[in-house]
Amino acid sequence: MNCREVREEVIGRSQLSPAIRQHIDGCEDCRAFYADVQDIQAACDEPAETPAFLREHTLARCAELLRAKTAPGKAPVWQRWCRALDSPRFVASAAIAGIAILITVTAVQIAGAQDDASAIPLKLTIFQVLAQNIFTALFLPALLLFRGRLTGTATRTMRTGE
Amino acid sequence: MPRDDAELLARAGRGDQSAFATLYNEYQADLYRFALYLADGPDAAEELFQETWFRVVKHLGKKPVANFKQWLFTIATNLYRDELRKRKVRRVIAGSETSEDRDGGNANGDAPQAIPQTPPAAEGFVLREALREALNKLTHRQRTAFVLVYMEGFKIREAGDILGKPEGTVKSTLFRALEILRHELKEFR
Repeated sequence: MNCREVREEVIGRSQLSPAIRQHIDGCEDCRAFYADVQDIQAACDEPAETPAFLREHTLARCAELLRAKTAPGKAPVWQRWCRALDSPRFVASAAIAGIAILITVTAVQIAGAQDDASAIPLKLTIFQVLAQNIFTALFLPALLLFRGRLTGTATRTMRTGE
Repeated sequence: MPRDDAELLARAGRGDQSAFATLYNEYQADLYRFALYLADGPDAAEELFQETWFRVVKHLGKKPVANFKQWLFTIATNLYRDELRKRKVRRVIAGSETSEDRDGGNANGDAPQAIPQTPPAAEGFVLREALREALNKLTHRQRTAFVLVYMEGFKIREAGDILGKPEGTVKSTLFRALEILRHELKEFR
């Protein structure tokens, strides 16, 4: 190893390898370099104290930012949607809209069937309306159950932050 | 990273104020010293200190952090580098770029501000004060590498990660920094 390599090896090390130690013992310049580095390192050992105002003010501001960051309003979009689903207003609106659509569709289909002279389409239409009603009767509880699970997950997620 | 840091970091990411305060209290003094040695003057150091912590809060919980202290100092170093770039652009626009700017050096067009003085504390005060003066002779890159390794106790590899440079480059940078410091401090030893 030449002197440059030895000096670069000395940098940032607290303990020297036997090879470097041997070189330093036999090389006056490298010995002086090593001694100087140790002196400089000793001078670097200086405690620092953050001014009280800066320390307190920064921590307080960070606390504000952290609070704002983890506040419910700042939850991801999907969580905010889930929370909206959980509101009674949403359930009432969805139910009213569903019933209105159902009545409209049923009325249109019955009117269409009555216009038709054939009896078979009327029977089919009545069958279709019945099927729709059964489907709706099953669908709404299923939707509510799914909503409960979804919002439950979102609430847990928001609570744990994961 | 001490095992506690990972736990504290995870809790802070979930909004736990006390976990964040614990991390803050653990590392704020180290970061302030780093900022003080790096930035040009106490005002810039305070700004760097604050902005670094604000960035920490902003990025908390976004990706896994293996070593909080290293991450903290990486943020500070990047902010410092960004500030230097902005300053350089301003000077280029003003038509006063210097050769040291192009090297990432410490000349900033104005007289470089001395690193702020602190009252004498113990033996070695003279050498410490001389060291503070001598650090102003280093380029920004040399000063950053020197402060990271010799003042903050990072290993060369960790300093390389923070600076985004290979270990060999950090060693060479430190070697040149030490040669300058030896020259500047020879009358104090």
